[in-house]
Amino acid sequence: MNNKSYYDNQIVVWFLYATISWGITAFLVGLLAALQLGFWQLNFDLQWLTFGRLRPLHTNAAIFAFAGNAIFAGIYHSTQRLCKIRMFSDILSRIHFWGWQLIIISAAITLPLGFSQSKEYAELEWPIDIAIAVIWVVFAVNFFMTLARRREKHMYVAIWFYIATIITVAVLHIFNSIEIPVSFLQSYPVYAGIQDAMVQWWYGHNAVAFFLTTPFLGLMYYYIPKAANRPIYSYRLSIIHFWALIFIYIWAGPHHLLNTSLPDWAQTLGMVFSLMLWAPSWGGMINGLLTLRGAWHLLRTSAVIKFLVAAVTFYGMTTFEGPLLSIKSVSSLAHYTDWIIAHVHGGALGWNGFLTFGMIYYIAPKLFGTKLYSEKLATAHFWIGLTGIVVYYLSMWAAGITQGLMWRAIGEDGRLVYPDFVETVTRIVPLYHVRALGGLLFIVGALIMVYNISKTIRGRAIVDDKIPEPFEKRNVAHKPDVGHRKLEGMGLAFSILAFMAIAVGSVIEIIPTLSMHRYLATDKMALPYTPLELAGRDIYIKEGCYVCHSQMIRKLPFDALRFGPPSTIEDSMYDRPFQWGSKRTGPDLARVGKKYPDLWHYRHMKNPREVINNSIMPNYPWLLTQNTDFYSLRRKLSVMKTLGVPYDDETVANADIVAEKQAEVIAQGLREQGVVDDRLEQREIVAMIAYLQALGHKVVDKEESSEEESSDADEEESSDADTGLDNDTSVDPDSNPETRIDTDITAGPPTAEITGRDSEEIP
Amino acid sequence: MKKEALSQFQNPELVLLAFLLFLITFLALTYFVMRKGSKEYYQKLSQLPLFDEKGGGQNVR
Repeated sequence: MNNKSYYDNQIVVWFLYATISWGITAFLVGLLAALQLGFWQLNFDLQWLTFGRLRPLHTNAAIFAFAGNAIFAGIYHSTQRLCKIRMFSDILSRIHFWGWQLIIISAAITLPLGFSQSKEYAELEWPIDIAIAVIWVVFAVNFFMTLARRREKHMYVAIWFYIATIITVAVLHIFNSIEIPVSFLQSYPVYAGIQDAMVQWWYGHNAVAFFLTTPFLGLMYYYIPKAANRPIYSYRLSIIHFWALIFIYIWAGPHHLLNTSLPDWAQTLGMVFSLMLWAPSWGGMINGLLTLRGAWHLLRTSAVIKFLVAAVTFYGMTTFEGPLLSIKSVSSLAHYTDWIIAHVHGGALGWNGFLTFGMIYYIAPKLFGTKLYSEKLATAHFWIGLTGIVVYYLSMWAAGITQGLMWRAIGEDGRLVYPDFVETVTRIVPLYHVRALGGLLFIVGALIMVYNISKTIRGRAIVDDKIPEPFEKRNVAHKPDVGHRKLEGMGLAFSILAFMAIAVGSVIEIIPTLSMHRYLATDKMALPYTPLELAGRDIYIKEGCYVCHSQMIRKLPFDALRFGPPSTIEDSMYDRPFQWGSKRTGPDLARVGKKYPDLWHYRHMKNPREVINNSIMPNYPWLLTQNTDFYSLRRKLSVMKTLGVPYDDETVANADIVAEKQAEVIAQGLREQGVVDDRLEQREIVAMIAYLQALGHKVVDKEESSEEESSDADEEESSDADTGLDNDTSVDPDSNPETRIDTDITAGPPTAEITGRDSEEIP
Repeated sequence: MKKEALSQFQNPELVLLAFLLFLITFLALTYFVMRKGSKEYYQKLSQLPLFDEKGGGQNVR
């Protein structure tokens, strides 16, 4: 019904259905991923179902499908009521709904197929990125036009949080998604290495802040007063909460990169602003909880209040833990471990999940003009779900701290107490089983909700809610407003100021990283990947290896003892996208190159347990049978060159031939060690081996490089005379000086070795 | 020139400036919302979500 006297409840109901459906999907994928960590056999040797591809599917489904649809349901429901007007356009509302669902379906298809940018929570490829931007703009136009036409002069605090969400998510998404397409479903980001890391975690952290926090705070400020039938504890505190939170949050991204090669000033800045977040976060939590002052009895009688109160409590706990984890010394223990997984799920399941459930239980009966089918079932859902979260959280907390302590244990002899990485994994596998149990309980609770809601609305039609007269007209005597009061009635000015609040932090933090050349050591230079290594890198990204393996050795003694010298900015300066990772279910790979023979990698990818007892890594047998896409390499190198990677024109023009030559050498080495496959040089495993063997060997001393170059020059001339090709990746001195490491590279780098290496025995 | 200008952003003075900007905004905001007469005004407005549907706002304290 398109009647301007009534709220548009239909769109709210659609988003509610989508929330529930995608929520169950996201939870089930999460459960399978959790079980895969406990039982590697559940990867089924199927590439579409391996952990590396499922984990991004799980996170995207949980964030953008479950939480996203929940946000939209809540915003469409509350904005109309707070503005006393129907949404601006029913057509835009429906384009938004169907567009968003198509984006989710696209993600559900492309991620398991391996089309991924490997940037966490921003994995989707460029056509989907564009679709997200378009649909977000549709949503924004619909929202802001509703705001412009509102009948209630004052914009209630929930609206402010929605404004901040819409503006900031647009800014984050657009800037983090700037990429150049290579093909229909592949692209390379314009940022590389440390720049990419900084921009990505500016995005990643603030995706949590402005997709999973601010909109849910808006929902909290609306639904807790509604459910408790009393106003928010302190409206004045909510004003301070809002501005302090959005101003500070945007700065905290670098706390994801502590102890890395990121310059110290940026790390300290991220840490300090993260600690400052304690104040506004807890201000908001206290404001939410104290709304129930004098009505705590509702906790006993109302399942909705139970969910909302528990959600706000989880918000408080998670926002206490977040700044704690941002302290450099705490981060040195927790980062890369399951403690972070515990932290994330405390927020996702407890805060986002429970707030959504509370909202669903509140809205659904009202939209269908009835009462909840069973308060008892809702209460059962609450207790089962809460038990699930606690089991999940505690098991991952214990796993994270256990593993973190094992990693850093150094004996009196100065050696690692647990030098075998796998030993630190097998110790916590039982806790992975417990975690899966927690997840299962959470899902059981959610399924109870599905039953309860379906029984509630069965056979009923959506009610038509007539829009009442504006509240202010009846209740608030207006004097001329000044200062913030005036601002609360000015949608455009408010939005511009909110944008400025988030822009300050973004500009001051991000712009220096775009001129990172200042931090690069002048006596070092990085070599670009050879075409075959680049092909292998793309396979590494496709398989989601970054999900379990970092490529960032932190400036910590125990990291250096285990993995080698700390990573430097140069190590990843041509990495598009960067692969620093955020979790180590397997060891760091930043310096894994030439540590093991080619055959070791071959056997490891085929079946990790052939070379590492008790490994929980999936098998990758398809890498031994699928062929590398050599033909796209010219295009890939061309795009890389456009982005500033110093490939010369000849290498770009003959990228596939250069790659095939390197593959033949590696394949020959493998054959000599007993691998039987007539078309071995074409297999993906060979490209993958080339990439893995290059890791940690792409940075050389400039002097060394010059010497090698001059001594190699004569040999190359004669050896390449017959083909007319360089079989190395050399640097074009004229290409893109901006990206070079600061000084003269006209001498060119040393040739990347393409030799039969590693004839050592398999350990 | 462009590079030099951009590189200046890493100066701690600018970070300090941003912090001061936040502090001033925060203090000004606190003053505005806490000044005389604000409490009553905001108390009334805080009831806005309770009166957005027909029959809403019953039993409000």
